[in-house]
Amino acid sequence: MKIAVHNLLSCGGCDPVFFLEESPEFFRKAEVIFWNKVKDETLKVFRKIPDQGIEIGFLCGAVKSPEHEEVVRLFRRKCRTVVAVGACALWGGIPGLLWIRKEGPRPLSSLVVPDLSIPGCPPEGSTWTVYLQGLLSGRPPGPSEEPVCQECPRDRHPFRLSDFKRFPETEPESRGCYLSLGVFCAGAVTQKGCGARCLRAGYPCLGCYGPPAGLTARGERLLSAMVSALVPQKATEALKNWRDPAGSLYRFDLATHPLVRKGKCGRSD
Amino acid sequence: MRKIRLETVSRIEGALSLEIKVDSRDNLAGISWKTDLFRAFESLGVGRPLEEMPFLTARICGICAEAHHLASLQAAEEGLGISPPEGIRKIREAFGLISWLRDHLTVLLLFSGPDLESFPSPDSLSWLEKTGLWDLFLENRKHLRRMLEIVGGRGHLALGGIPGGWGKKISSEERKELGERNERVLLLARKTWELYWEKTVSQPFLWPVQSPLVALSPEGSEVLVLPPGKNKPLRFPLSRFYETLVESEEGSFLKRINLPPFGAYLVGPLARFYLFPSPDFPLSREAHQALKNIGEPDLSRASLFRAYEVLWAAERLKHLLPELPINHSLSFAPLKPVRKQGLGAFEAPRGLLLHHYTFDLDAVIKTVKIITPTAQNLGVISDCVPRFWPYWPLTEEKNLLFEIQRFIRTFDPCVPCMVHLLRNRSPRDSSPEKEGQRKIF
Ligand code: SF4
Ligand code: SF4
Repeated sequence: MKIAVHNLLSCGGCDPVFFLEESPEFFRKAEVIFWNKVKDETLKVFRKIPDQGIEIGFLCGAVKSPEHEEVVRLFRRKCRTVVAVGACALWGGIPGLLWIRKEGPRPLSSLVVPDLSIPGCPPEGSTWTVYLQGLLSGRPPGPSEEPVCQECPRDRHPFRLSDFKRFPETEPESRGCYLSLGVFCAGAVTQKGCGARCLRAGYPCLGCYGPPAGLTARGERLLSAMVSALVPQKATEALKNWRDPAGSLYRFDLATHPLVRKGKCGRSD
Repeated sequence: MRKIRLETVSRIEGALSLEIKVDSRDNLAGISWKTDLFRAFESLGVGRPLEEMPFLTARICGICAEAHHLASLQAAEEGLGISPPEGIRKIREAFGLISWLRDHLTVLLLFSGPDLESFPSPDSLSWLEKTGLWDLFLENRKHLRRMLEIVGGRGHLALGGIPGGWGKKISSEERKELGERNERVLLLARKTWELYWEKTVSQPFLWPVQSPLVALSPEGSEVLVLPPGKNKPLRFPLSRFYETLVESEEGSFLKRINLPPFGAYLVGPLARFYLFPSPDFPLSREAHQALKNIGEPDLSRASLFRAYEVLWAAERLKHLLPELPINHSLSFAPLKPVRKQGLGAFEAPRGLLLHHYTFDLDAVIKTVKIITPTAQNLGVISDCVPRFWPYWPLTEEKNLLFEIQRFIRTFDPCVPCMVHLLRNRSPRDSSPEKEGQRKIF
């Protein structure tokens, strides 16, 4: 099986190098046509490959420069299946926060339609395996409809809030759902699949697996859930003191927000 | 004048292209670097809560994410005026060592491995298969991923660090598991060292180092600088060293760091070897002795020093693991800065890494400055190319490009880490007057 791999605007952390150990047989049998991490080949060679001549092309990272755009279009032309890997490719990722200053990158899907999208910043090994095996067996999975809360070890119960908190301001050993502690945990508006990794390491979910299937305006929904839990007399004060709204609500996917797409996102938004 | 273009330097972290200008007599007339990996982390950190910086900045580099996590944590803690308890410090050290091991082994066995062969080199996967280390390498990647998961909560881009504490507890079964897995890592570390020793030691000296070597002192409060030809390092307080550095732009968006009055300097395994004391562990002590006997610092053998560090890190980890606290209690530092800024330093796999933040009274970030190992090494890379140019094969373009890439790879450069320069806002720009004012002496 001929494969190609490339990193666009990314930290390199979603690169399939990290998944070698998850799918050794796949990589052993694969004929790597282009992948600058393991092979001394340039795009020159890749351009000469006949259209549709490569079975699977893996693309990681977001799109910012004309060179990125060229590579994405090239991959779509040369590869029968294009797999987008990681939060930057899917939604712009953390660098998408630059849209607050009107200069961020765009997700890969703004240029071409990938055949498979593997979520996560980075995807967990188990997620990679499920998606790759699904693809190879002809049943590629899509995003889950269920949120990270399904996998979270913290206790959920009804709550009211008098303020928003930053997570180090909570009681360190508390076991309650972060939302009930006033912390903007993105788990409720993020698709499950990671095993609630960050929650098990003492962090709230920061939302790297993206929205569950069918959920739109995830940030606004999280905000609405938090605001409706505020006791009315404290609401104005809490909202006034709240720092980093865009980062809390759209840490990994601001680049896909309708305001960004319409060119209306800036500091004042 | 002819131009030689290389679209992508292969087998390094990130995409970097090169353009080399050669005059009619085959002299090097200029070399320029280009990358489109600029993600402005120094800009996107602004306005974010301090406690999120360790998580955010881990996304600067997928390969040495844990190093950024730790340097960021330290910068935050310095600003908050706290230092974590002994047990937490040990967990963090173990975390750093595991990520060192994964990073170095990946670089040695995937990126630079084929450079041990002559041109044209095989691709990494077939080379690894040929060495007989493929299965052991993949097995160990699994071990190291699981070890990071145990210590840092995630197997990749691990987290865990919270100012004042560590969020991931370790159970006694997990600690035992860490020890068992590390035994297998130690086996691969030994084999990797042997392989590199056998293939490298008999090679002639090619690229002697003529720049100062720089590393963080083992206790972390000072920076050691060893000028060329000297035996005893100069010692500088960390903050003074940082204040002295001069930043400029090299190529498009690449950050280059100079240390007045020396100019370019080298960080990383080779520098650490000459600046750190010899180790107390049996295998790495033996390797250290052997390396000492081979002579002066030479860049063509940089990978050998990396292989030595793999051995050292696995042995250090073996001694450290039994001391990790079991199910430590969680603690968070109050988000009340006692200083307006914080500076964090960590010896990342590629060398000294610095994070500097300023923040407001609510611990929200105002400015971010990140000095990566590759940015520090860029000066040496750029200055050495003209020096070594006459020794490279100029007649065959393919061969020449291979040699240049091989040379670049000895520094184990990381492109995502290089590109954080923000234009028009550097208090440490590289005007000659400012360089003069900022001499470290
Ligand atoms: S909102 Fe967060 S803390 Fe609460 S259950 Fe969901 S993932 Fe867990
Ligand atoms: S808990 Fe949230 S931020 Fe952490 S890995 Fe899962 S989806 Fe990503």
